[in-house]
Amino acid sequence: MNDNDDLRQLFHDAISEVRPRGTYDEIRSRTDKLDPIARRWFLPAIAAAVVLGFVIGGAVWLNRDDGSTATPSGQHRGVVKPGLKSDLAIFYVGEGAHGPVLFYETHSLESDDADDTAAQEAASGAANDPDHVSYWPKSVAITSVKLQNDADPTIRIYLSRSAAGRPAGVTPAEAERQVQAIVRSAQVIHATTTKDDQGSFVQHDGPPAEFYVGDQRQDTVLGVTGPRFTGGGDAAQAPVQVTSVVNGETVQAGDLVVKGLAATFEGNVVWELMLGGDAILDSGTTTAAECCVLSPYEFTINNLRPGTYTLVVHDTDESGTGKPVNQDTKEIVVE
Amino acid sequence: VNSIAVASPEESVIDADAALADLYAGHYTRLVRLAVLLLRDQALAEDVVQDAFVAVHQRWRRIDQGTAPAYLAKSVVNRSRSALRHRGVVARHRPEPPGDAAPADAPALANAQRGVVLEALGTLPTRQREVLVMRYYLDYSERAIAHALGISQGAVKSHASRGAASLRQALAEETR
Repeated sequence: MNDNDDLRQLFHDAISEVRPRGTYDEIRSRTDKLDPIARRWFLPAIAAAVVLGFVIGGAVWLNRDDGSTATPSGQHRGVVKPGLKSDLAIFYVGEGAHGPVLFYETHSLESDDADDTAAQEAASGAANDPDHVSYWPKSVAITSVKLQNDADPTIRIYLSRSAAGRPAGVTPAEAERQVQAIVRSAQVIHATTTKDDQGSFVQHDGPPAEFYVGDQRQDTVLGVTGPRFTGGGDAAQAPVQVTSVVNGETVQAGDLVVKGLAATFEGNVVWELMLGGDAILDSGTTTAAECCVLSPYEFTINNLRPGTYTLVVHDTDESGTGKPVNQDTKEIVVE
Repeated sequence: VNSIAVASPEESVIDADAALADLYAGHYTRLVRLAVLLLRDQALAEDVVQDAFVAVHQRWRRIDQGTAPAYLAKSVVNRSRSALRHRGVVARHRPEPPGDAAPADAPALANAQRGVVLEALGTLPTRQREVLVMRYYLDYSERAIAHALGISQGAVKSHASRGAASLRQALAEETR
């Protein structure tokens, strides 16, 4: 007997006495009242083609290994180095414990302009992780992104058409995060890092962004009011993220080092490894470099054997009342 | 139960009215019960499910007709989530009701056992509740739930594991 057969029985018992009201005729009467026009089959409108003008040649390179171009929190930004593919930090919207948040992915892309490519990928590129999505409307293309590097630097994001309205089915919070995802993806390329008096690294967000259609500044985007938009800073980001393992990635059997970012109570990070079903095979804890702000963490899963696993990394429920926690999950195939 | 018969080999597209009748006969009760598990409100559950049926009828030619029951279930889950969100917004802006006013369908939901389970389900985060109900009431696979909710199978596993543990704890507290 399955361990959770009792839940199955409980659910069925709980609603077995529910006798639905409402007849087929009532539903039909509602369908008949619909405007006949609404029931016609229309061919979909021709979608605007989004042309990503990737030119192989002067590519942007992000150094992932020596840390010289990584921000203190481990997110990468661009350094021009022709002849190589770009690894760009792309932000997507995902679920947090208290609403939508931004998750960071590294995408390897051919590009001659990191700003353009990053913003376009955040809008219309496919996320590596199915838990990460873009709510950006498909009918609106990001045509280019330009840094106005004057006394008051701003990033100008040019659109093919107005995107003032919030897309159907998208909540205000999701829309706000989506705008932040676009801005953050372009912004992180221009982020700077300095040292404070104690010698600690301090990351400064890149310049704010403005959206334009032609020479018309857009004061509202996806229902979010501007005219200046930020990437939301660390507060907009998922408090727990796995960055070293891509969802669906195949790794070698043995020890697996997992890296990520966390902003959690006392830096606490919990990980669980699941094999089939929802049984937890192994688990452990680690701490992020700093408490309460997005900072790196790392742990090692020892002696992984071949198989397909689910890795869940999450923060802790300090209330002890089973409140939702922030998590990131990755499917891992071990060979 | 999860598919509907095609009228004839030559007829690749079933008439929307006929399809609606088949879907109603085969799935209406189950979907209302699904929505009750998600919403704890039978009247609202009936509204949500009827809206889903109307939407399917309206979009019949545009959906994959072979998966219409799954489409309906997904629509009911999504609409229930929206209804909960709306109910939360309304509740925040509504004055306190006088006394202990019972909901209109209280008699129908009077069964003690049902009340305990629904109350316990209601304490879970929305996503955990959706995953548990789809897994243990609809008997969906993890893959099907992931597809319906637009999340990874890993997230489904995690929500199911954590949700089951929280539900058991909540049930224990409710019956203590």
